[in-house]
Amino acid sequence: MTAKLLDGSAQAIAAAVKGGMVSAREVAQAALKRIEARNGALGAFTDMTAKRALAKADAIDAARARGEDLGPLAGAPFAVKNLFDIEGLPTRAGSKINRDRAPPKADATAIARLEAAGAVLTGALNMGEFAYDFTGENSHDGPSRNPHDLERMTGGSSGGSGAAVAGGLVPIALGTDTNGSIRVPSSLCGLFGLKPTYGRLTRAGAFPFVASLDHVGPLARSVGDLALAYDAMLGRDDRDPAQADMPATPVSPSLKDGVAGLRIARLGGYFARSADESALAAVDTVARALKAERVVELAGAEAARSAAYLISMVEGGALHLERLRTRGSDFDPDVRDRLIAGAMLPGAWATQAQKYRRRFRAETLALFRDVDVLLAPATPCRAPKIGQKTFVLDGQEMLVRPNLGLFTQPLSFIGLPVVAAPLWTDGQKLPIGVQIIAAPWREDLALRVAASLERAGVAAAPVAPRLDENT
Amino acid sequence: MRDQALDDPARFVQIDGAMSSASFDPEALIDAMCPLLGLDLTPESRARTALHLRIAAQQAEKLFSIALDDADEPAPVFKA
Repeated sequence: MTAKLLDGSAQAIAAAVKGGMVSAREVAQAALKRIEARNGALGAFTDMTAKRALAKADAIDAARARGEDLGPLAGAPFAVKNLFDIEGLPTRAGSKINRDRAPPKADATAIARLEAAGAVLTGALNMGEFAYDFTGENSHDGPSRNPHDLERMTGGSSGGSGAAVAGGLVPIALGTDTNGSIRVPSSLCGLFGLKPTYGRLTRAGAFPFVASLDHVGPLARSVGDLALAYDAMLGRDDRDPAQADMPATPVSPSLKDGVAGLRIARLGGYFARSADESALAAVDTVARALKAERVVELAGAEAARSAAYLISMVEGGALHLERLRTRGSDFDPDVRDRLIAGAMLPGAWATQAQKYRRRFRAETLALFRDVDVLLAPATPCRAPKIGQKTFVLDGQEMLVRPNLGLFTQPLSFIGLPVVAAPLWTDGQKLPIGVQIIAAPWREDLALRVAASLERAGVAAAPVAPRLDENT
Repeated sequence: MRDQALDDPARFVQIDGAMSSASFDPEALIDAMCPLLGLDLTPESRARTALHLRIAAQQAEKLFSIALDDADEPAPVFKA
């Protein structure tokens, strides 16, 4: 029974625990056993927090015995990208260098809030070094592997998050998204992923990459779980200076509202170029299902992508300059040399990029006067092979590592909320994602559209075919 | 391991804009900046850094192709 539960949703696990069909300890034990059995193939987890998970599960079972409210995620296992602070565990952020740091004395706020909702932390997840990555590869811990084809990339930088959820190790994982690091692995691993509005969810206790662009968000196999995790993490936190003072309005109650009355259009221009047939066909499928016939242009998207690219280089280079000076040989070379280049760029470029950010935001908000939701590819192609350095898009050979996010980057640049929804094609074992984009602070609309697609069977996020039948 | 695919940065760089990345010499920038930043690059690291500087120059060309006003305010505004 527990194995079947682990393939299902966090909501179903919570219902089973609350109803006494299974104990939280039984769920935690089964989840830990499955992680041990499958992680060798997937490279998803870098640390397990087994003792903590069992203690939390026991506390939930004791609370149930006392008749207390257990929370909407009662007993549901989750795991976090290893840039989130976990008390007592060095926050490696995908690096060798950070393993020398003192373990944090407190959890990241996002972890504390998920646990307050009843979820059970099972460990920390592999990621691209210092989050500067779209591949899911890591020179220190090895690559995270795509559960749907172990020779393929998960995408990154939240690669372990993608592998853990698609591999059935946990129903929910936390990631971060600076330029696409939730949406790219969601697309390549076939998951629902939510990058909320910039400033919505607290980043306190998450190791930074580009403060101007960093977001926290969940990956899950159902829209309901995505919404529950998001709802649990809402709320003000003075430890994140970029968090906006917005009301904590849950989105779960509105998932059933459907798409009637929503004005939905697909993005053309930049978002219809540099993509292979599978990416464009996925958007076609979603647009047809939603009866979205209109095509609109987000003028300036290419420049927006360039601006985000430069801000990331400059802020990343500045963040790591001292480590580049003193620990250069301990970096992943692919990451190090992008950071070094970033540290050398003119300040005028970064300032111009930030000026353009405000201009592009204003132009995009004007577009949202006539439309509620926009559609675009999440990645230009399905998962490349692990180790693949280049691909050809629009006739031009490009580096894979920076360019898997070329459709995600212009949107996070101005902090728009986006849900990545996974699509499957008959005869293809690899999925590909579509971005569902809303105006700032309208996560509810993007999630409503994703929920409609899920109910209609257009988008789905199944656990990958069994990696080990016994777990 | 040296990656031959990365040894020719020009393969990944299109130079077609008005800003002068065509005449940009990343080697000269690296020579000037390393002492200033306190960095000492290996030949492999230097080659990759030059590649990423060229790509950055290409991105800057695209960014600067859009005219901005003096009055355009940068996005992050400090609130006292």
